[in-house]
Amino acid sequence: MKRILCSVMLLILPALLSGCGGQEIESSLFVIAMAVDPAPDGTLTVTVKALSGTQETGGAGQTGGTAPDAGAQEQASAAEQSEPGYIVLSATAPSCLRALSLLSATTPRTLNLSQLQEVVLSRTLAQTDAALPILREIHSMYRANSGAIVVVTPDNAGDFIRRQHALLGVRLSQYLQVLFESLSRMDTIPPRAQLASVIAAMESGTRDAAAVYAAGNAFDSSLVLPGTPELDRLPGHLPRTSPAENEYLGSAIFSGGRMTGTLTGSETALLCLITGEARTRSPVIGSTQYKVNLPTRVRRYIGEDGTLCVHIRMNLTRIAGDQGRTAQDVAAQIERTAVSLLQKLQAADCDAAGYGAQAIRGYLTTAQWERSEWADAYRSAPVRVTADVRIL
Amino acid sequence: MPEKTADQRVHAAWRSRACAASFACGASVFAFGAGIAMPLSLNAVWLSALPCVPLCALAAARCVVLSRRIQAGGGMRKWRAALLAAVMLASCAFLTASLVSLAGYTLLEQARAVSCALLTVGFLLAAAAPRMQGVSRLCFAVRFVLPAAMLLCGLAFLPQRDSPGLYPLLGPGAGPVLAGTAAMLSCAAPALMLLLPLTSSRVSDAPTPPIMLFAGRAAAGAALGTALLLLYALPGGYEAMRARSVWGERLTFPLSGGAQQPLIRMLMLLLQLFALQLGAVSLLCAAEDALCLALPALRKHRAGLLLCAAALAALMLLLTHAGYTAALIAAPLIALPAALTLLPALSPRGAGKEACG
Amino acid sequence: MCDDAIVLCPLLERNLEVLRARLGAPGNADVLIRRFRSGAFASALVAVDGMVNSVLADENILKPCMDLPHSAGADVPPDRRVGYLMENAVSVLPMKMKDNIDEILADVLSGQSALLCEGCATACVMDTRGFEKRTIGRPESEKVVLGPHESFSESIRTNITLIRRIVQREELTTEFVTAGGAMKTRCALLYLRGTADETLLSRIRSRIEGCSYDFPLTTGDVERLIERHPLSLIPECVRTERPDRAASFLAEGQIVVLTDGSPDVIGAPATVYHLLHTPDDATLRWQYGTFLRLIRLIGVLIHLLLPGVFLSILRFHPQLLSPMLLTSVYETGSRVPIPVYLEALLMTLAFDLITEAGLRAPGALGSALGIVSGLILGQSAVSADIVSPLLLIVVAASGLGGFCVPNYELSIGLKIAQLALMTCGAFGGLYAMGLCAAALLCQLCAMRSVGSPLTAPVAPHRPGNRDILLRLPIKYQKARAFFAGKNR
Repeated sequence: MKRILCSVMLLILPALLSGCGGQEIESSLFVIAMAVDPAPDGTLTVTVKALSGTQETGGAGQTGGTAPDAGAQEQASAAEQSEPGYIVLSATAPSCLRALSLLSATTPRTLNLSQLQEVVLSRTLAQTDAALPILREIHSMYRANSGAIVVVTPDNAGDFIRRQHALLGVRLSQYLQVLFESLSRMDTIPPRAQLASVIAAMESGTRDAAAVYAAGNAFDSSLVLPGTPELDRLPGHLPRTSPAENEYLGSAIFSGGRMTGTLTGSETALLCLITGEARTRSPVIGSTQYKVNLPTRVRRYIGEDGTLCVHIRMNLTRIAGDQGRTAQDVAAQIERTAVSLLQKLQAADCDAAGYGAQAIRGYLTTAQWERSEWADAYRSAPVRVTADVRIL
Repeated sequence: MPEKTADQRVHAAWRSRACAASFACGASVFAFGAGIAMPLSLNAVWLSALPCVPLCALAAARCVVLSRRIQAGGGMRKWRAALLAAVMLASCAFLTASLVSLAGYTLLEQARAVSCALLTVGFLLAAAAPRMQGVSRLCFAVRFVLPAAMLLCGLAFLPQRDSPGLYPLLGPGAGPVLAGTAAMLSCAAPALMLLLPLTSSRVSDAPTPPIMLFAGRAAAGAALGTALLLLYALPGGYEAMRARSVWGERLTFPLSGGAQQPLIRMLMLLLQLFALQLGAVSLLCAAEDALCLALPALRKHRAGLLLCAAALAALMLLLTHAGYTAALIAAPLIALPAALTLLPALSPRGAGKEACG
Repeated sequence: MCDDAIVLCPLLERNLEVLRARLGAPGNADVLIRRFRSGAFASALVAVDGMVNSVLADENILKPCMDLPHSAGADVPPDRRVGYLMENAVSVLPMKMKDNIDEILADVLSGQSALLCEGCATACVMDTRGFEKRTIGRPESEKVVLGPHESFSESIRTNITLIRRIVQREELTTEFVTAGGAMKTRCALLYLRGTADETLLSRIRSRIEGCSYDFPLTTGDVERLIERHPLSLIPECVRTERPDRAASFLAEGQIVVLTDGSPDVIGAPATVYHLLHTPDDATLRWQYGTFLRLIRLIGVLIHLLLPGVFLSILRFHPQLLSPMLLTSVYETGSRVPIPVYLEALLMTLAFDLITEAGLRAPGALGSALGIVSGLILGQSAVSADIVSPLLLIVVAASGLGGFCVPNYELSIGLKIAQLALMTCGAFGGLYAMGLCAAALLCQLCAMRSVGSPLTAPVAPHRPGNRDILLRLPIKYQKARAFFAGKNR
């Protein structure tokens, strides 16, 4: 009996296994970066940069081809060879989903977003209600890499990723991973800018999302302000040239699913400090650089009168810079800038610090919480920051 | 064979059986919680699942007491055995459906649903071929490692700061939470496998271990399922849970928290699938044993197992066509026949009338 | 009485006629039947040429008997004449009195000599074996760095002696059993009285004696007689060619089965952990032993799972690859013309072919063959873009892991399981691999070795020696294995 059973199973097994849908790795098109721009007539242009599977260099390709069944609102471009090993494709369609399926149709490979490193939205699009549905579609329908960083740019997002090249001898995908890791260690980009975290924050009523803000390096831009500290700027306005054509610095802050403002690099670092997610051990406060000796303790709470409070305790050692500053001076500066930051967030209706997660604890049911009109209370709540700094 | 050795063997066999029941209860709690209770109680799903811990312990204790009386009375009645077989098979079908849903949503996105379902049933049949002994010993072997690994991986999913999913504590309110608990009563059904006697004829005279061993193990399994539901609820807010409409998606740990690394996510997924599979195989073996008690002729050529597997395959094919929502709707009804199975024997003190098999 | 051809009769000539007829003499040139006068009566010695030690037979049997005076034994009752010769003339130590013709013939065919006397219906069978046999050599498949380097040979007596040199205990018992139908094979069961479980012993004995196959049995055949799961990939008994290991089996409470003509022995019952232990674990310090066991376990897991996991990741779960690795795999995979599963099968087959060829090729050629084939085939295949370099590394690592398996039978079983898991991984991803692995584990947990669970004492729990994965310090290893009898 056992033998018959085993024989039957061995015969049926191949048939069952063949229905599981595996495919060879070279039949997938691995997208490394994706950009979404608004197009005329309410359509969207989706641009992807993907692995081409070859290391040979090629000439610039053509653009502007039309998919066989496309109407006026749907277009797909021919592949552009942007750099060795990568191709750039773009498609225009009424929705992101349709554009991605159009892209799949124009190549003989299946689109695979499992290696996606960044999703770039143009600022124009991010400032509308379309951002959340787009991100949701990418995440849930195409199972994109949940760790892909969401980036907002004031430039054309498609051009942004065309300019994004690998540097220092590594591949683009690895370069982006290392870049974002390095930037988050310096606290110049928001801590929870991953795709899954941004979507969760957008859907949540207890905190708001903050994505990475980036732009092309415009060394000659008139917005380069002399005398302002470097980190206290937005990307694209840094007074320097760099091998990378794109600069990532600061945050794009959202209220719900809509972008409502930006934070500079310094403000982003302060936001990381306030939320207790600061990773840098060498902050620059004023014009002095310090080293953090012990983990910074931060406590956020809502006072009984509804005041948004932050208490920060830091243990620092001066490394370089002005030696005349006392601990009280540093504490006062932190308090000033933190209050200014929180007020800026309030003005933008963005609870990036997560005070909603504190406020919800006072309610037993979701109905009570939803009736509490927390958004109005947050907007008008007073702010108090206290800092206890010791300089050794 | 020395008496002490025979007692040791019986004790070991019962301990293994208790571990199998524990895994089945834990898997059921998690599957019921994520599948049925979560749309009702959202982030308070762990609260809904909490009463299932003492429920599973009580069910296990009751099963052991009743089993002793039945064995003293000469054996299980056919109606009880048949009912038990139906309950085991239904619970097995539910766990198998959750296994297929989870796999279909995560690991085998491109697979045909029918292939996935039949593949799962086929391997469950292969795993159940060595009878309850094989799977219960495997459950005994991993009784510490698997839960510890799952808890550690689950902890990796927690956010570094805050736990937004914990609040509001009652989720949508006391009413929906209680409704979730009521929908989860069937998760104690796997404990009924302890009604079945050990099949080896050599051990019939040896004493069974104390009741606390079985109750404790069942409670531990249910507690693990509840703990996983708590870890599940912590990272994301209730809004994220409300947005999860697909059963497979509800069974997957949310990603907004810590573990973004694909390896940790994959490890957690594989551990979940393994635990669900162990539960399903235990229940399939128990269904076979119960069916053979009801109809001893099915013992020949393992016809009982083949019949149970065929029934399971048929159920899975039906669900593939009707949609897995049907399983979510029907699953709470398992509690009714399960409760009937635990009725005391009809004669005074249950002695002398339970003679079959 | 003489027509009864089952037992001897008092007539010497009649007995010799029966023996000649049974052995095919004089046509059968190997049969030696020597008649002689021993004192007052006639006698005969029956033996097989080449099997018997001629010098021993001449000096210790024929010469002393023929040197007896003519009147010696005249007053000895006829039925006691053989006994008289044994007491007064023959100086061979191992001897038995037998009257069953079948038994006498079986002993003569095994190299013993049978002494018959006129008027006596009993023969004396003496151990005069003197056939050529291999000297004690070194183990071929169980080499160790530190420790004894002796191995068993094909002679069952030599093998028993090798064990007795190590286990010098009065409880050590040797029981001879015969297996087979017309062509009998002599086996020996060695055990420590009071330590080995009597039930297990009788089970093994009955399974061996119940065999009626009519061909010479080897240790492998005897193992097939003992096992109860013929379809299983995991062996139920442990085989060894080392006397020290066999001695450790006896100390654990196992029963050691020796087969005449085979240079390895069986230890039963066994657990799956016995199949993964090596003598090195015992001869080295406990830390080193534990470390080596962990290395071995990692090797086994790599051998079993790595190809399947690799294929499943490539075909189903590329998100698990790091970006750099994916880019490398993607670019190389685009150039390879065959599907990755076929690629993996071909490379695995090539690896196994090289291994088999290296085993069969003679002498120095064998060791060079593996290196050259691997280098040339592998390098050429990569240069020609037939296989990707990463897959080659995976297959090679998996093969190396397979070589870590100390038990040869287990390594082949694991190779088959590896193929099954590879197929599941290639066509069903990690899900199918997980289902398959769980089914295999359930099968393993349910298996028994002579009635004893194969995965005990882990599952089910059995009290006994905890030397499973960790090699504990010697002072903590006070208990025998769980399957030992009362004297644990």
